[in-house]
Amino acid sequence: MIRPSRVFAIARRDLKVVLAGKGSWRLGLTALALLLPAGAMPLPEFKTPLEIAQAAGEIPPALADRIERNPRFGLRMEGEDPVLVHTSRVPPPLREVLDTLPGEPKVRFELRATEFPVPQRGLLLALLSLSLLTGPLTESLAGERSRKTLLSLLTASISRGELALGKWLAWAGVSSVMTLAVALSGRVTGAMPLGLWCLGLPLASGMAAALGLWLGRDAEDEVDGAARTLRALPVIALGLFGAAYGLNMLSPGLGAVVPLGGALLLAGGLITGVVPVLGAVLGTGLGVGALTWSVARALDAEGDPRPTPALSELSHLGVGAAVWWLPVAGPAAWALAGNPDLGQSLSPAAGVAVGGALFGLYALVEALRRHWSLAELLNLPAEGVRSLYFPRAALVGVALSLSAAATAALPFPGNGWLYAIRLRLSAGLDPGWAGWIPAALAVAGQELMFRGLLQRAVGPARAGLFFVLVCAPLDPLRGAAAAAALALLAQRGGVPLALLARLAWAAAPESLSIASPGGAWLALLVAVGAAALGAERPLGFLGRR
Amino acid sequence: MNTGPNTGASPPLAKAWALLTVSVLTRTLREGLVLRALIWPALIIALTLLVSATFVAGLYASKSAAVPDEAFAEVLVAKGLDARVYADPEAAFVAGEVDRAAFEGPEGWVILARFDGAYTMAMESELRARLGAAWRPMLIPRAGRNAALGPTTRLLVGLLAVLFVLYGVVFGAGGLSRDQQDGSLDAERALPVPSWIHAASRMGAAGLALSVAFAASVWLIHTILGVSAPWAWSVVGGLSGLGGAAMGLGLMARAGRAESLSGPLSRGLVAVTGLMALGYSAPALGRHLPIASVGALVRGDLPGVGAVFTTLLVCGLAAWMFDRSAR
Repeated sequence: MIRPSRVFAIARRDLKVVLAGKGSWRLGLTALALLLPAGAMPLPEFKTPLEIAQAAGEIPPALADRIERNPRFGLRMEGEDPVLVHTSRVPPPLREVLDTLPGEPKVRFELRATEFPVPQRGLLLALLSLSLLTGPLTESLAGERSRKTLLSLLTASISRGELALGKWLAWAGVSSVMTLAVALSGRVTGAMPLGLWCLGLPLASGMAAALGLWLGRDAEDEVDGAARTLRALPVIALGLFGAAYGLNMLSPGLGAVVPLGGALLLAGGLITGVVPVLGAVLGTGLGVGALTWSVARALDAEGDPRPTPALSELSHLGVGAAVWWLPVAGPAAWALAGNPDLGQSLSPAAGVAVGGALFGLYALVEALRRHWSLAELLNLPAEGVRSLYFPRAALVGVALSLSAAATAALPFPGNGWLYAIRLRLSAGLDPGWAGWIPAALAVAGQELMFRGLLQRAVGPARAGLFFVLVCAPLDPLRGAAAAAALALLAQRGGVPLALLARLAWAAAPESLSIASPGGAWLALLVAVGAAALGAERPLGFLGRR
Repeated sequence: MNTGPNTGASPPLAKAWALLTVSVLTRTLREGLVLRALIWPALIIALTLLVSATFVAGLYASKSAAVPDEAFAEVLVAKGLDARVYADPEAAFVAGEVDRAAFEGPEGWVILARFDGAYTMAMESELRARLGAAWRPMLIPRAGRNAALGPTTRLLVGLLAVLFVLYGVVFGAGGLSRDQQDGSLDAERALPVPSWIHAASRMGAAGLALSVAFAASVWLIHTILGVSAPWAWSVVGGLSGLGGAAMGLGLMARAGRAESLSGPLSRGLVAVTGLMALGYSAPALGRHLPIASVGALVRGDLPGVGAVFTTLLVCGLAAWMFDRSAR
């Protein structure tokens, strides 16, 4: 049950606590400094370079009085008949002037691009008001928890819902009043006319207050709460705005129902009409309700809950994929985007070296966090490593180096972006081409991550699966065979033994590679067999954790 | 670390400093919040860059064009366009079958395009050349790496460096404030080592964490975009992170228990902003100062040796303030 008098009492108390002393001054001055320039000051008029007819080089005398000479502009004119315009894009004003050059025939250029509506200043005002709430919201809930005053509130004769709603009301109200006051002052200065868009301001403030409380619902103290809100609130706000904008492009008015996104669209003047505005109110209102309810449910929680094991494993996979794919396969994106020169100017060797170093760094930090010793990170067996395993590891490495042709076992397109990415990832699996230092960094990092950290943390089978997903997602059969062989080696001698195999694999000359896929598969079988040889239970490692 | 009773016997200072630094570093990294803060910025920048590139690739991937005659189509195909002959190119464009069309209308030749870019410009250039028009656009050939990327990458990495310096201030001030509140600072100070060693270990741990995380971020972006002077950035970012941590620690120690975190934190952030602005506006001076050297490097001025000494000076000052606050 929600009793309004209790809700208002909580709101009053919250405002009193947070705005006590210099708090009110601080919030007021910050609001003034942030919001007033955004909402009430008239903007100076300026033109982008594409709105001016300007050029460098030889401007034809006939056009000299209509084209501004700018030697630093990236568009250069040359010659007279014809006039050559060296550029990557002809600005429309310059095109207009050029089209007045005498001579036939005329060519009319018409760009029928999709129009992306530009939001009004109200959006900026709404977005800035979100950042205002970070401090007070953090102090409101996380501060209460760290000062232990939340406990006394929870024992008072108020419901959890009234408590959460009261806190929400306090800050949604303050933010709404401030933004609406600035909008009004914008009307006075003539910077912004009043309109239906003003309704978006309190809606956005309300949703931001609910989001801020929700983000910090189980924060241990102000620092924890502030960091969460600072990091997540802008990303969520922009993400929801992007989603709403995209939906609105698909069907006008549809984006209004996105919580917060609809409110921001409204504040930016991107939706009009009664039904979309009602949709924005309803969507954002439901969002506020759901978040406040969730905050009320979380009020009894004691501090930051530990992530579940499954989530933790997924985070290893996500971070692993990001630190390897970005530097190794990422540069391929430039060619797709029409700038292959940029991609070619980047060193692939640096990519695998950085990817490996990042793997190693991640493994070291995780080991430090888990209080592991170096021997534990390296997965060294307690009984030591038997010397006969070292030549066997080298044999496994050489056998793996012979298996490059096994990639052909799966049908795959011979060109296109997927092919480009596969080439780069395969090169990262066998980085001997990159030179000794990058190759050593790459394989050492991979082994520390997959045969060290993950094999110990999540078991050999999942560590192997993660290795295939991250390092060989487009060559999974060969990747799986390599992962099995290396995992078996690591069980006998930890990371050093697997690393020895990887170094032998990287050092073996490419010319040794077997050309036929059948022979390559035989090499892979030899690699796995040699690694498994002598094991009491060759497949037993699959179940061990 | 010796956690036994205080016997009064002092361990060697270097060993004490190293052990305390590792202890503070482990404690810092065990907080998921800190670790995420160090990892996410570079990953988000790198992902944003690649998602943007992929978006652009999707937007400009179409090479389709409709033209009225075979000869013109052949010229365009040679330029990389997927040009085909249509009886009515305009209708093909309007129907959405192609993204570009060229045709002769009642008032002359017309080019319709859904987006500009290299292929559209190539089509216009070839048409104007065929017709002998008075002007024609010429795509600027790319000669290797675009020089304009230098300032762009400096600005991008500079913004990241600002973030890490701010982290430094927060780590320095926030860590001390938290330890003051929960009483662990008092326990730390009971150890038989000089008080300034605690300050040095806090700065060492923050400096190490920030330097390594920043260098990793710079090199990650370098592999995707090609940062100019990545080594210089790694050094400047590390020194500035250390300088920021020292500043936060010193200001918090000076404020003591009388003031909450927000006062020293806001003073530290203002000082960081001022130093950055100094470095950017006067790079010749800024390259020798901690934090200001970030601003100087954004302008292209490599850091001077003076930056190392002034950073150490700031660290010394912070350790002195910390030591003084213990008395």
